[in-house]
Amino acid sequence: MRLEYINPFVEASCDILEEVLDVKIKKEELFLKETTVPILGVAVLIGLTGNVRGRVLIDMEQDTALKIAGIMNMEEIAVFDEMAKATITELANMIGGRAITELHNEGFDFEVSPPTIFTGTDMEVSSPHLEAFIVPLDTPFGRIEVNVAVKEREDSNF
Amino acid sequence: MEVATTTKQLVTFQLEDDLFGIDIMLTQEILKLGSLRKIPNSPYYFEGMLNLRGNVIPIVNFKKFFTFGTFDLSKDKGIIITHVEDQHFGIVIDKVQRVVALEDSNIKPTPEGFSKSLKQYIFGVVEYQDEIIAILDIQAIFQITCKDLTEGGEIGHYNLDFRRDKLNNLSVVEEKVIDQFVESLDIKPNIVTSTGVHNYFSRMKIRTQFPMNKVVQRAKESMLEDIYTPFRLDKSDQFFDNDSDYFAILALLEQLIIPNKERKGTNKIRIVNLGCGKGQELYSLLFMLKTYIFGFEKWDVTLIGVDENYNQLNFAKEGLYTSSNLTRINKKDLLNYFDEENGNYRVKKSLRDRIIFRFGTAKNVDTIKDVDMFFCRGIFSRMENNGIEQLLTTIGESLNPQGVLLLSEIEDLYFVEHSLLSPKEINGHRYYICT
Amino acid sequence: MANEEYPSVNERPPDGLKPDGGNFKLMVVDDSMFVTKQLTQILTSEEYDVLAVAENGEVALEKYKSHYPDIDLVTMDITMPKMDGIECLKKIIEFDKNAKIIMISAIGKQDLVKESLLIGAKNYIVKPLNRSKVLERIRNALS
Repeated sequence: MRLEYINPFVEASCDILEEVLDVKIKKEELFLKETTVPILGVAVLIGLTGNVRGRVLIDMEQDTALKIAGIMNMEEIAVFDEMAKATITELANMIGGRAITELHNEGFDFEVSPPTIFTGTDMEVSSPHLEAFIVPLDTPFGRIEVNVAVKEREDSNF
Repeated sequence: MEVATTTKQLVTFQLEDDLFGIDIMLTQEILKLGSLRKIPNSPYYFEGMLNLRGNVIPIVNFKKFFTFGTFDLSKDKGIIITHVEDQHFGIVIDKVQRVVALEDSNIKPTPEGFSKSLKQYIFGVVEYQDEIIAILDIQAIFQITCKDLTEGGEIGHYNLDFRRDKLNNLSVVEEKVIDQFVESLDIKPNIVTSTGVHNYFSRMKIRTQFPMNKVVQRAKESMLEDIYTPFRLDKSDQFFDNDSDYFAILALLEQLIIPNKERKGTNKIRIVNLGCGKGQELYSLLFMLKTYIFGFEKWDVTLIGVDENYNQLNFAKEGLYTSSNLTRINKKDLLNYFDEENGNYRVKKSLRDRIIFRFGTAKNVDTIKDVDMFFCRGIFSRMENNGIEQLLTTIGESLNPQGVLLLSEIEDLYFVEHSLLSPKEINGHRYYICT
Repeated sequence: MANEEYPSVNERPPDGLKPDGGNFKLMVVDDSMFVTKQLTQILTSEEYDVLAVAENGEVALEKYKSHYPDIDLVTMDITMPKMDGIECLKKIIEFDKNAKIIMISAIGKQDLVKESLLIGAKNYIVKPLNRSKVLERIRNALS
């Protein structure tokens, strides 16, 4: 996957998390994964269209999601209810938005679809013909995986 | 992912007719022997310092260390860079062989015919396809060579002879001739040097069947040659002094790829550099294409650098290098390719824009299509046969018909037969063409 | 220390109070209940009256029309299902050329910003939301 696609998502994830949660995020080693991805517990999917085809998945364990939702709502959340879901969805939305803005500045015109949240264990997301790469982020609340799979539409060489 | 805790992978290489192996975990890189800076008053087996992308790495010549064989540096082709703890040093070798996987239980004790002194540097031997591979203890060798470099070599070595059975004893007269020779050189002889030199000449005498005087004379002449070579003006204008690989690329483009494209009436050329790391290899290639390909501007050339190290890839994309990386580039060419920036040099944007950097492992090369040439050095030599097969298949499927795969000169895949790729030669350099 | 008879010079009336009495009435448009809650909290703390909430452009347009002319300002997200924020912006302005709409989006693309402002949005705020920035821009748009 082109490096230009990857860097904005890495930067956006770290920046948004640091701004919204007021913590230091540690980036771990990036890796490539088979495109069938088991979900950690809570995953938000943002579709990417326009000159590219693909998706971004923000993936974390439910425990992490609860803690983060709690901070963003400024109150402790015990159950992963509708508000918690909306909160995590919005987090992913901001990461996607920030990344898209940067990609646009670099000349890639992507569009995003409204995000969708998936919860549950034993779920898999698969994207055939797309290589997915993962940025694992180490936060004080747990691990978050930013999983990006994108491919240019016209020139299918990449 | 297979986890077999008793399996080792060895990078095997040739020194003369013998095979040696090093644990792949300790090897970092394999490259062609470039010019080294000689250091005076250093041990005899110490070849010099290599400037590798800004890092200075000591290079040891094993044949000299174990004193056997010929020390003809024009035939010594490659260097394996190893790392021990967080230090690096390199070993000069003749030829890289394959990567061999073995279980600890395959390792047999070192047989007779290996001297005591050598035994302290090998773990044992392993049999592979009727050949014996001696497994080197890099850490031990490193410790000794390091100490020699820093302390001047007064270490208790005994008989640095390898395969004692191959050595004859020297007469007193012969020893004298050799000692005079050593004195005439500007090397402070120590135990190591002295013994090494004696053994070297002993071998030369056996090999050439010349009397000792003549052997010494010849050695003097070729050593002077070696001493002066690093100080000659480099004819290469690349980051790396690896002419033959790059000239082979040029030849393939001019003689094979471009004529094909002209016949087909298209002007798109795609070249992929697998394992591009921090980018010098790729930028060097671009500079060379720009300089030497006639009518380069009318070709739509895309260079793609692929690496699985995200940080190195980002570094490559920046294209910012220090002047120590660029000592081999002619000053007048420097500003054609780079813009100066606070004492450092950044590859010009117009050139950087021609390269796409792509994050990827050997496994997902299959998502790159329509490739005219794959160029990779030091990748195959670090892989096992299965991995090699797979990667060759992937490359074969990504290449256009008549597309080529080029490896560095010291890597040879002669032992692998592949349905999609056939070996050929151009200007003495082997390559693989997609049928 | 301020007391009731002598208010401190730093105190000012809440933004949401109209100079001639009453509260400004706002509509918040966003498909995220979290964002809606967040914005509503910010606005009500300054005594704005959040009259209506909509989760997509279609509903937003309907409610603007049905509440017309009571809504003083709309905050509008861009990425929404059914009808997105840009589309909705166009339609509301077609309906009411004096409509005051501030775009609030996670996407900060220059072309979107320009397009929104050209169509007639008063301002454009990029998420994550900063309370003082949001209030300042709404205050300016309403004056």
